[in-house]
Amino acid sequence: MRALRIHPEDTVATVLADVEEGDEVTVISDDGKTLRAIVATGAIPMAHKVSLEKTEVGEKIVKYGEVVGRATHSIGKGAHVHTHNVESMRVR
Amino acid sequence: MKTGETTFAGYHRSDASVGVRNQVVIMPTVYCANETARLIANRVDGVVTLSHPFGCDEPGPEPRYQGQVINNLVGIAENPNVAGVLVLGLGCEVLKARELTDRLAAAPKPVVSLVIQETGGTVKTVRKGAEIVREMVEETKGFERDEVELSHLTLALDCGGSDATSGIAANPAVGAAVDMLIDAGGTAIFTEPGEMIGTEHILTRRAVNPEVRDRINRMVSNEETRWKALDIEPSWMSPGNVEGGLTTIEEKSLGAIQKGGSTPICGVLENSMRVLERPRRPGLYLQDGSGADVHGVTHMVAAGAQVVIFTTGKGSTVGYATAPVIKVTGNPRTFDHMEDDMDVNAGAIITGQRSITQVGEEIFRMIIRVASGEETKSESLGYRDFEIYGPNPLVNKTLGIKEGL
Repeated sequence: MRALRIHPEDTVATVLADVEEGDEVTVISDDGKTLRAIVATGAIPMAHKVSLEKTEVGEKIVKYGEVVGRATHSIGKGAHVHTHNVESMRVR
Repeated sequence: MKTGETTFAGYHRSDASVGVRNQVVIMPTVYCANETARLIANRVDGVVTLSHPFGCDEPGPEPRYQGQVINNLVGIAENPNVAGVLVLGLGCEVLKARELTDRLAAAPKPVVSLVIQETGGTVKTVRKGAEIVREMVEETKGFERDEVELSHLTLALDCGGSDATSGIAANPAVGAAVDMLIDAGGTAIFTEPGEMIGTEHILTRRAVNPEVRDRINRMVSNEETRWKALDIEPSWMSPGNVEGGLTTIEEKSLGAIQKGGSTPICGVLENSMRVLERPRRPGLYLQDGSGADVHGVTHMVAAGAQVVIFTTGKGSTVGYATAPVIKVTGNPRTFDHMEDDMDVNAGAIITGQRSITQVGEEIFRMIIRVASGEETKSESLGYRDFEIYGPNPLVNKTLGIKEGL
């Protein structure tokens, strides 16, 4: 199982195949280098995001090196990051 | 015809523009003529109808609430891919056939008008209309392609049915191809300012001058104001977008702008009730206009684009009436499921088999082949989509948004 971390400042990576709870996910950079491994704490569908770090309510979610939203719930490392725990900072 | 890395085989027109197809079109001025147009097109191979729902639902003749619709119709007819135009009116509508033929008087192609009420009804109009377009199609059979520099090629960039693979595979690969095209002297346009919301700080950094920077900010801010006022925020994200892993509009926008590559932004093309601007010199352009998907393709083809690149995650069948559409998916499952509709598999980036640059080079080579005559999947399947966007002028007026940029 691989997950793509696009930018060094990203707090999330995109899983490149369906991930099940407990799967070990290899996080890679956009030039294909292995960065580290994390354990998924829940199922994550292909192309969805996995959290690379523990994120508290109100903290920013970063992808592409850019802020894409903020946490509405506490998000653990390895958790699925999506509309159930993140909101837009632009439009709500 | 030899085509290298910087040339393609196109049709030179007498005004120095270059077509990649010889499409004969029937253009109704009003919805009342749509069915007659279809009956004519049914009789002649190689003709498409450009049906739309406008032409008479405003008090005329001034002010022209439908100015943007008319500008887009004129632009589509002027596009060098179009080799002949039959303008079809009913007779009592606001948008008269004469108004379109007058604006197309200088176009280097046959433009003929026919008015159903004057001609004497369906049977006579269909017979006469079929004769006219058949002759136009016959004339195109003598046209030959010549080797043409890529500086004569303009690409339209669009996306639909996006998911989270779009922003990491299909759009970056298209962006790589766009960088190659622009390095070779070509032009590319992308629109949908709604999908630029949250990325203004990135796009404005790439503006060639302060005027372009200000136009980018104005265009995106106007679009955001309209959408917020209309209270239609939920539609910024389709259910398929969310199911596909896109969480917020910022994330969707950041993925969408990847298709524009990394070159400087030379300009923002106004597309309003008063004017439809075209690129004045090669390079990368943004274009104003609320139209999404096929509506957006119409905006860009009306501004002169001859080839369309359409990226999709969830899958799309789209083609276009007057320009070939190259469809690229970044989702490997979509490619496997819908291979008959997909021209390029950028899903190989997701599965780790190919790099963004490799797929970008494949797209660049395909652009040259398609511009030189190779059929895309949607063309061979017979897709000839056409839509036109008609903005409601009351929205800008009520919100105090100045028309244009």
